[in-house]
Amino acid sequence: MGGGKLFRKFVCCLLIPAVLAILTVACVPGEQGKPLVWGIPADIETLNPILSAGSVETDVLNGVFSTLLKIDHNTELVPDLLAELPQSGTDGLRYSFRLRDDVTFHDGVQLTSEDVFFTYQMKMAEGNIVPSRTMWEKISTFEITGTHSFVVTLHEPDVTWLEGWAYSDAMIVPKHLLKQEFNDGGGELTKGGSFSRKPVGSGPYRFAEWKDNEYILLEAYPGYFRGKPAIDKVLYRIIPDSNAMLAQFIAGGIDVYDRVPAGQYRELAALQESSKKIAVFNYPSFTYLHADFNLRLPVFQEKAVRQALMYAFPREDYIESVLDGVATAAHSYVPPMSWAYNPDVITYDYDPQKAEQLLDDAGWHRGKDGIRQKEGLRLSFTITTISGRQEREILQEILRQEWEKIGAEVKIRNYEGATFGAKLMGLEFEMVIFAWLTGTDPDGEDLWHSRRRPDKFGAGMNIVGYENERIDLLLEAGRKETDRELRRNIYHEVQDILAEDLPSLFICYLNNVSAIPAGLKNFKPNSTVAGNTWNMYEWELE
Amino acid sequence: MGVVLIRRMAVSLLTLLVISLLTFMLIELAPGSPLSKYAENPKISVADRARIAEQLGLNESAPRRYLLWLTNLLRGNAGISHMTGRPVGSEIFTRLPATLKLMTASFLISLCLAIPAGIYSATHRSTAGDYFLRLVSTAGLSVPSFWLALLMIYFFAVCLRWLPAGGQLTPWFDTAIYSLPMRPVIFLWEHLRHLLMPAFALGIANTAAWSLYLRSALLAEVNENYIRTARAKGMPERVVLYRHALPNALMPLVTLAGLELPAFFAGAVIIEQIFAWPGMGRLFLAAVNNRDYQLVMGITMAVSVLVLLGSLLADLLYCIIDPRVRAPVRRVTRL
Repeated sequence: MGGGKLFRKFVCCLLIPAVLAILTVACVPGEQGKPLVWGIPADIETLNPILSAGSVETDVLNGVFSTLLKIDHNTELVPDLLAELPQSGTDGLRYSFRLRDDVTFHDGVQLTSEDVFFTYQMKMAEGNIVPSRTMWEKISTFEITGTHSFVVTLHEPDVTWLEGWAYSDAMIVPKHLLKQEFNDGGGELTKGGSFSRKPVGSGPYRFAEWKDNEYILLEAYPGYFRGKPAIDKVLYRIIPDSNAMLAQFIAGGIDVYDRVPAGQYRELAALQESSKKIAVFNYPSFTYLHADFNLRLPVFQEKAVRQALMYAFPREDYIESVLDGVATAAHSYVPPMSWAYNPDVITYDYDPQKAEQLLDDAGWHRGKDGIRQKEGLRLSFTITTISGRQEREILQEILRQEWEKIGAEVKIRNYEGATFGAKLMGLEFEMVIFAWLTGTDPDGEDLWHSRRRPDKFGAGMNIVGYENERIDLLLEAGRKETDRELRRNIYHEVQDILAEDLPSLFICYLNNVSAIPAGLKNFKPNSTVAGNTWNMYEWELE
Repeated sequence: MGVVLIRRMAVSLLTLLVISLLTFMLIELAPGSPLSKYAENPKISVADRARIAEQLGLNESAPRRYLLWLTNLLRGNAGISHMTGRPVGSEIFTRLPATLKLMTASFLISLCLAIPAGIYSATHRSTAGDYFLRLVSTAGLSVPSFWLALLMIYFFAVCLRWLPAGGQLTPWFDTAIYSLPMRPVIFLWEHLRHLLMPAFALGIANTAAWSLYLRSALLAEVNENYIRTARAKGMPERVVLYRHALPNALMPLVTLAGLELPAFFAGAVIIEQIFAWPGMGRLFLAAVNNRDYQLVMGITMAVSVLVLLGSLLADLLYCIIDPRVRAPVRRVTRL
């Protein structure tokens, strides 16, 4: 009976979507007026640099705002809003700044030292939820000496302080627009405020449109002090899933795929080979992956144990096979591209026999269960990391297998991001794998100085609980020394001691991978937190 | 009917209160806080974190914060999102249309595919077509939607370039370049192109379940006495099937579809993430990851209201379709 008809109707129902899809091919939006599309992996919370915690927001903020200094692709400080690099005395305490006099905000109002002072005031204002005040709290006095000049004095000498002016943290905001919002808000700026949603800066691009969770559009600012940028429009498209981001890149939905996960590098490199329409960059970053000991635990007290564990880790295999070669071996916390990098630092090549020897010599002998012990203490501990971060979870598994071979008992306990963060801050870990994103300055006081133990002093990032008097002295001297050669010597010694002591297992510097259209000129990858849009005023599209 | 409505609404309000309390307790019991995202950033010091906790009011006791949240909600204020600094209500209302659009499209696709498939399977029991459809349905039920979504992106967006890989609309899409009469058509196509894959990926499991459900319901109905009577009266098979058997077989599906709303939303959390769809599901995921308590509470409540409304609507629809249900005793047995 009507069965055949029914089936035909059903087939029609199935065919309709297919036909629609085919028809739509003919209506793909054209490339006319298409901006340069930059894919970003997370939603933007605010475009007010006073309140922004950086990361992907920096990619957008670099277009809208300017900083006093920039950190270039060679990690050197260069002037941005300043006419020249700041002058400082030999004491590293007092800095004189001179601004360019040809800078205007996007509404045409000139940028002056009043705006810089206002930015400082906003960072320190009690009501504002500012993510980090570290660099601003170091300021003792801020003296405006002219329309375009000012002098800053610090509480104590700190040559590392200047670098802070190069990041999105220190982008200069317009006093004439924000003061009113600050006062109207009862002494508080919020992420929901109008400036957060419609920022006005002095950067190469002015804000045009923000569609929630979809995109942010910037337009070239003709009055930019370096001249109008060559690319008219830049659109930041928000795509949270990395697989979808890769698909969008291949299908032309985005032009620039920055912050590519290591696992996608080979695919993109192959695509570069075959199409020649894209260029893929793979370069070391300032983010280093490490496995931190909790040095408060008796099991990690001996240096021999820590060194043995380092010897029993096949680092090169891990970098090559798990990270697809998208990483560089780390032997200290200072990356190879830093001027302070010590190339002669001790390295620990994979040598399980030496590891066993070290443990034997130190009196750690295998018990009946095969686990080493010394004076009743078993070589047993738990490694923690963020769940779902594949490269870290595999590292954990490699460590467990390799260390079990040399007689250690390793347990695994992972947490999702927010819980992991809470455990880390609460120092509730035995051994923990994560990554630090460091600045370009080799100063490591916050990480290694004994006074920076949060459990003892309530401040600092020395979460491992490392204490070494020599390191303390060196780090203090390093912050005050203004001569770069002398500083280099200081940090070489710091790296030597840390590599010998191993308060943390330095695993590798994670490389950054970026894929761009081959026709995008002057794209200069920047490994620092300044991000790859740092010089977007120079970009040109062929 | 009025009594049923009032009683259901009272129960719904109580349910919402219990949901809010449970959600709040769950968030409180889960480790982590809005500050956890700063853990790996050495620039944000312990002092900074302590200051921000104070500024965000995280140092208040949990019961106090719940009461504060509840009293504010009763006054029509759902709080401010830590993440975006905007009122939770406005965050939800900004994202709600995208989610509703996706869910409606998905719901319609599911219905349009499931009903013909179910009818065909039932009327062609144990034929090759029936086996094929059942196989496809079982596969549709078993395949995780995120995997199907990625597969679809790979084939239709990357290999064939038929459909966009994600988003609600191409950002630089501009109808102005087309001739005036073509503009509405192009505009519609543009929306459909973007909607097709996410809606299908979201609805696939329901399509499969509903078609199998309808098949068994219809098979059960055609063996009923009233159908035999209808056939004996000499009614054409077509009339027997569509006028008599189908409406009865469809009734349980109405309830089922009404109760599927939470599943749709749960699916939307994943699908919106993969297809960069700017909806509430994605917002919810971001809120949970950032421990944005106010936003998590707000979205949970909004979805709960939708779900309760959905089941209320299904019940009312049931009352309309089947007058017997209006009698409370019968209704209990039917449910």
